[in-house]
Amino acid sequence: MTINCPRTVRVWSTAFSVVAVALGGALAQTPLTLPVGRGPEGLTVAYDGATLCVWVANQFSNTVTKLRASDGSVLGAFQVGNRPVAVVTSIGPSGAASIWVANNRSNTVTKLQASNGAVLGTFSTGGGPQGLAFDGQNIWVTNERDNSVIKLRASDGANLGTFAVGKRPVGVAFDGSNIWVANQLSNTVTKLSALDGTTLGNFSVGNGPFAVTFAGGYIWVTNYFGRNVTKLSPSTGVAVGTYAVGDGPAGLATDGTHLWVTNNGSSNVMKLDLGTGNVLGTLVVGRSPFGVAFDGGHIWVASFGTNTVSRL
Amino acid sequence: MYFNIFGYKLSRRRWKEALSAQKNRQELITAGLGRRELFKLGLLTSGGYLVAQSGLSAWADGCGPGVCQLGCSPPTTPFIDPLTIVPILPERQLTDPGFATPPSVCPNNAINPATQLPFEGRGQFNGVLRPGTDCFQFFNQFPPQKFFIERMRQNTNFRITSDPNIAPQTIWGFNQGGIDPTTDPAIFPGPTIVTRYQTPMVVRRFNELPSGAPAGGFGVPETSTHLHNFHSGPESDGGPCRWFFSGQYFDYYHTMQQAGFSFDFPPTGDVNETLSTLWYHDHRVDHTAENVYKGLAGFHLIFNQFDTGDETTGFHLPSFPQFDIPLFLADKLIDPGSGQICFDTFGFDGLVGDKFLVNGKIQPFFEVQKRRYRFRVLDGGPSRFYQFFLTNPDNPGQSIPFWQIANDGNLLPTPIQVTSARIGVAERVDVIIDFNQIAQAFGATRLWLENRLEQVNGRAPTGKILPAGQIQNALVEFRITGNPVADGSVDPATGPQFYNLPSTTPTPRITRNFKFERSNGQWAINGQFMDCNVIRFTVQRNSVEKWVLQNSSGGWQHPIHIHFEEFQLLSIDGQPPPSSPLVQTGRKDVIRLEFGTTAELFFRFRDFRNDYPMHCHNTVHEDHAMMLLWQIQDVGDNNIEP
Amino acid sequence: MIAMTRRSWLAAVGLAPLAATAAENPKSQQRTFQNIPPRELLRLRHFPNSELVTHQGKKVRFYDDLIKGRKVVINFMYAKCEGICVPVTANLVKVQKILKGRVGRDIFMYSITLKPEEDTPEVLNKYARTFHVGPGWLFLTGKPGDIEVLRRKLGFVYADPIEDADKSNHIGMLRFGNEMFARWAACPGQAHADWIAISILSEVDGPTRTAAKQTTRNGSLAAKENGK
Repeated sequence: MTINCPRTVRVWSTAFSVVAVALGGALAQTPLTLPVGRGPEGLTVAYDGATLCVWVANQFSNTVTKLRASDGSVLGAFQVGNRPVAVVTSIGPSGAASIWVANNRSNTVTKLQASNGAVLGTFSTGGGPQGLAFDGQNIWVTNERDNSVIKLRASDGANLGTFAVGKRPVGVAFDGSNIWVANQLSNTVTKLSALDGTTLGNFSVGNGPFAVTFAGGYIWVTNYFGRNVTKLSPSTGVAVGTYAVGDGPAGLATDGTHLWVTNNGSSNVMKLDLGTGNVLGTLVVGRSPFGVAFDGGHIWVASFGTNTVSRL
Repeated sequence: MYFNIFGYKLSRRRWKEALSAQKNRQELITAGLGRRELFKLGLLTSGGYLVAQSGLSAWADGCGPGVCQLGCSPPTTPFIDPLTIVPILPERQLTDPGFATPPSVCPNNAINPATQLPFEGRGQFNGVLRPGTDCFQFFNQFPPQKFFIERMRQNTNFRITSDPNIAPQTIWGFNQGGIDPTTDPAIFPGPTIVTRYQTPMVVRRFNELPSGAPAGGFGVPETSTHLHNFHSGPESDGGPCRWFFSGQYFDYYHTMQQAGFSFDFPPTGDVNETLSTLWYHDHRVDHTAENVYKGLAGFHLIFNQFDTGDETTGFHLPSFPQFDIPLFLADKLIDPGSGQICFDTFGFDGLVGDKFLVNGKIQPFFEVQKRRYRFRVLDGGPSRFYQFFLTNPDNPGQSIPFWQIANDGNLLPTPIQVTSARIGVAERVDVIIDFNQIAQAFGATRLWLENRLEQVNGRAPTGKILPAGQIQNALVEFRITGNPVADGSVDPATGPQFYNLPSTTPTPRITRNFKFERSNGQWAINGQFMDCNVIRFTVQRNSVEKWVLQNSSGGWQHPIHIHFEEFQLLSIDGQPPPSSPLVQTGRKDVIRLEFGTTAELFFRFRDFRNDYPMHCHNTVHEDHAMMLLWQIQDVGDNNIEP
Repeated sequence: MIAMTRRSWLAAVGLAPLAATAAENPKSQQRTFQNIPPRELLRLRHFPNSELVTHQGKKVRFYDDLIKGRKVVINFMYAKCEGICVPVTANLVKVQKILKGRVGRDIFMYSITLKPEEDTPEVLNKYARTFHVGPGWLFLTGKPGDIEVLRRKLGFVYADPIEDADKSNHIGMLRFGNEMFARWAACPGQAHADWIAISILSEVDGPTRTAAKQTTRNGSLAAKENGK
């Protein structure tokens, strides 16, 4: 059996070093990799009319890049606030999509029209907005320096309240009823009511919780320093499993059947079985991957170290 | 499954017992119970150890001989030793036997038949001689006028406290250059080197460290002494790859001119690039943390016509040495079995200690007169960040201000009044404390220099500021004595002006970007690791550059240090550097990159050629590859993401 | 840490002054300091005598047979290379070549599996043959409990023992040293192979490396380094 080994670390400095490792035939195509702005961290997917697009936040360029999902062509790059780290999509009553960007150093979020990137508004948040989630009506933003989350009405950005959570809240997710926040320095997640922000519980997870998502009926949390993911019951908050992944797991997404985890420290992406938590395959794309999202057909990953985004 | 520190399995019950024993011990320490009280309560044996009560045993699995971790150090009584005023390294003449072969512009590469190694370690790169390299740049223009010798040696009888709970220590340190170990032993901190600008100097260092397995299981007898952060040529800078062996010597030559002396500010350099408080310490690649921890470090002070050392002249800063006191902060762990300072070279998160040493003594006291003093405070590592305050232990609620006058050895344009100062590893702050004014305004008869920044592991402080007045966080107790005395030094409240900041308006020739990242449990810069054989980029000599340092949001906190030049912070996270509550303005050589920080640094690179490092000064991170080499040559490159 | 007053502490612990103090502790504690010699200290902290099995099916004791008195290079891996594909092992193959015949003579390389349940000696043997590893380099497995203890003691873990109850996946570090001189260092397994080799030689040979080079100027490594 021959094993295709990726070239050594030296090669990462070229803009398009991508190697796929086929294992059990699971990942057959070569990923498509495209340069974006500097230090891409968060990404999201949105329809622009009939065109499916991917939006990437480039934190050191202070821009977001819009790409067409079908072929990766860049449709635009738009200026936002200082240090954009996260992006999320909201859908308005008419079905039109808006893109929200968390500007970590300006303490604001920017709302853009998905069709043309026009800025629809800039709204204040707490200190250090780091994570974003949409609950159908509202945008929830974690304020990592204030240890709180803020709820903004998506239609007009109105401030509907700020709620205390744990230390250094990073990732945030909606499970259909409640909001879940990963508190990186408390090693816990906080569960809040999406209706009024009441804290419904604080639950222990692993070391350095970073990203959180709802997938397969459970809450999943990556533990950045603990090199594993925790699976929690959304009703009780009890951990039902802990699964080893790579170093520095920072991003989570689901395609319905699998959980995709980006390992920022080991520079790879893992595909886990949503039921068993077993790692089914590992892919190497770019250096220091962060954000990951599913566009209905493909998984997209933002690589902070190589300033690229890849479609798997 | 539970494991004790030696890796042996424990039942859950025993594990919980061990944890609770440790917590109880920590609470005892927190409660501030002195040894006398503990003894009266029957909790201390005559040997000074906590008795085996269920939950209190010092030997409960968790601590024991050979164990080196927070909470296991034996209890000690604070403020029983006076602060050591570190001796000043004496000047020598070239007639001294140590200079039998006088310093020469190029290294003495002749082979010593006794060791089969070159006599001088200069010219070696990563242990291998490169003949013809590392001659002293500018030696003929600025011939040395002052000469010094230091010998790096082991001292097996060094006391860090008179508390009998702690044994005499085996340290590796610098001596004052003499031959006789009884009259001139190695000390920690090493002797303070006192020099003046425009008086070029050479310090010859002999490596006489023992070979073989080192006491305590840490320390490597190969050293490279870095003068942090002088404007030296790489041949004298003591970088990570220029280490030398036991049995060799190494001449370190410093022109003692400010930056720009050969370019835009001939012949002596820009006075606004004056440095004052520096330190020297070992920098051997892969082993810096353990060697510095073992004692290989000391202060190096520079005076000139403004910062004169005489309060009746120049800027009128408090007179040296009586009222100008360097304070070397070093936190340590003690092995409870051997009573010795301990270090585990197999860890790579960093080390924080539970014993605070200042100038080599655990929590000393210092009697001060009712007047102003200058203190030069240095965080000597290995990993702890400090934020120090002045606390009146008899009234801890009082918020007592003092004056910060320098950052990383660079005098600020004017003093800034503060109530605390934060320093990471290798950073220095100079402060002026007016004990007369404080005694009057606050009724204080004693003051603690107290560290209130909580840090429980080597990664980063938690950010929490602990309440004031906790004895275990006190670094030094100042005892204010006598009547007010004559004070010829300037009162910082009058707003004296020191140097001007060099301008940051020139357009940089290039802007370079550096991402500090995690890579499989190690730390990398732009995805690559330290390698003595790789020079990552070339700066054009006598040009200006902007460097952008970026820490991703998942990262640790890193104090990043660049050798050779001081920088000015143009922005931190897009904002101009603040001067309150923590002073980040002025010239510095260490930048604290916190979670998700971006910092823009402005540099002028002048005068010298060849290679220097940039690295994280959490010395344990540094030893695990968070470093790179760059160089200066006549033609620079255009690599913006090296 | 809770700041307690003396009174509250006494109340919490519920202790009255005791009569038999030292007598209660079987290890009667005098203030005699116990200096453990450095090699022994490192052995206690880091080198258990776990029973392991090599990829050639031989049973060995970790400290006695593999470490004591030796110059060694240690890393952790596992055979089912799931994508990150052990560039570390590939790098080590290059390092072995650069070290030219010393591996097996006085330098020994050990790769220990992170997945002992899967990686039997046969599996490791196949892995070793796939990478064409030369002699003097052993792949090791053993009982999961023993491997776990070993991994911790060698420092391929996070500091917090409770958190780290899960297996760690691919810590890409190499640890190497000279046991007789109690001299140990670490290096990223993904650094350049030349640098890894030089770092290993620095640790294991110390000053004899440079001294030897001065007298025999023909060593290939010397030529390589002097050419830089």
